[in-house]
Amino acid sequence: MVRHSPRLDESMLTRQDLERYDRQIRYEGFGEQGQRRLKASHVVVAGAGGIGCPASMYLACAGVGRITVIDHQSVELSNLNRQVLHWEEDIGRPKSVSAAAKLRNLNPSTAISPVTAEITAANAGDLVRGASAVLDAMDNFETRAVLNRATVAKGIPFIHGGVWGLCGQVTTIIPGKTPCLACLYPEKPAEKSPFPVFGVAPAMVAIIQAIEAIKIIAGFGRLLAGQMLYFNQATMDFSFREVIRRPGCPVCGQAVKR
Amino acid sequence: MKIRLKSFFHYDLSQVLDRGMMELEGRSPTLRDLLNEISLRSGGKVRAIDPKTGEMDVEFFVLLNGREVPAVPQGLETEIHDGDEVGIGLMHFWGGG
Repeated sequence: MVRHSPRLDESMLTRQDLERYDRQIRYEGFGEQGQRRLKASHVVVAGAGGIGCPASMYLACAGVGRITVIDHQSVELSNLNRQVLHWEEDIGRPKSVSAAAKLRNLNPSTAISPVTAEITAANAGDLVRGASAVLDAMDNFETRAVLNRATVAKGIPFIHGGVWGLCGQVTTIIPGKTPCLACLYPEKPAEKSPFPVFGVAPAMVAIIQAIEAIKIIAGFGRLLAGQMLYFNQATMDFSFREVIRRPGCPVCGQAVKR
Repeated sequence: MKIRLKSFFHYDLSQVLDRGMMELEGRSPTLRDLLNEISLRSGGKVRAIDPKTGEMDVEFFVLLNGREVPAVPQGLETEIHDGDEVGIGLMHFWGGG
């Protein structure tokens, strides 16, 4: 007798699911099992800006069961060249609420949980608890560091992404297996705000992060684990840089040893 | 000799390159020579070598045929050859869009 885990039983595919996700279910190595895993999953998207908007859209389209969108800011006119879930009518509205409304229309079968709160060391653990993966769609070093620490502590994959102008970077952090963000950036790098950005740059980061999350959850493909992907859309240059664990990293040192 | 250059920073190197290729003079130029030449041609906007220390600026990474400079035995003194590919970029792009 085959035993199914309770999570997979809860995520049985309906006839509508089979039709809606037909094209990706046909992908070899993904199939109905991959779809069931997505349906049972919970992805936290930290930030509902230029990265968080397209990332959450593609995760919802793909059939992730639950998405938590966290952002404490409100929509501004200058956001609209890239934050594609926010429209003129949303100016002044909390970004998490604006994003959730569109995502629910995009895929009503995905449960969307908007959180209008600043991510801090005090609440990060609670915000990411139980997540299958956390997407870094933040715009500052401090919050990324907080999320890195929380995800490493809980053993949750953390998919980092960042942009500047037409350049971007993505890496996937698997606690216990790869270096973490603190290995890469032990000290705060120089930051500038506001910074130049075209919408297409965060969109590219976002779709790479989204497929990394889908691969982690469904269990197929090769990840950007231990590698940072850099791209420059101005020149169409792409490169990978190996990321190396920092000996004695105060965040992941213990996690890697386990 | 011609070096294929990949750039990962905001400055548009296409102003000083011919379709991503950079012509270098000399018999056996090193990575240091290349980076100094880029700094010169970009008017100092792309300065991957810290002028104070003569070492790589911590804000930059440099890849020679996919290998990062610290992993290349001769480091900045590594000779480069016709057709080599060099990637230069800023270590971090911190915006979230």
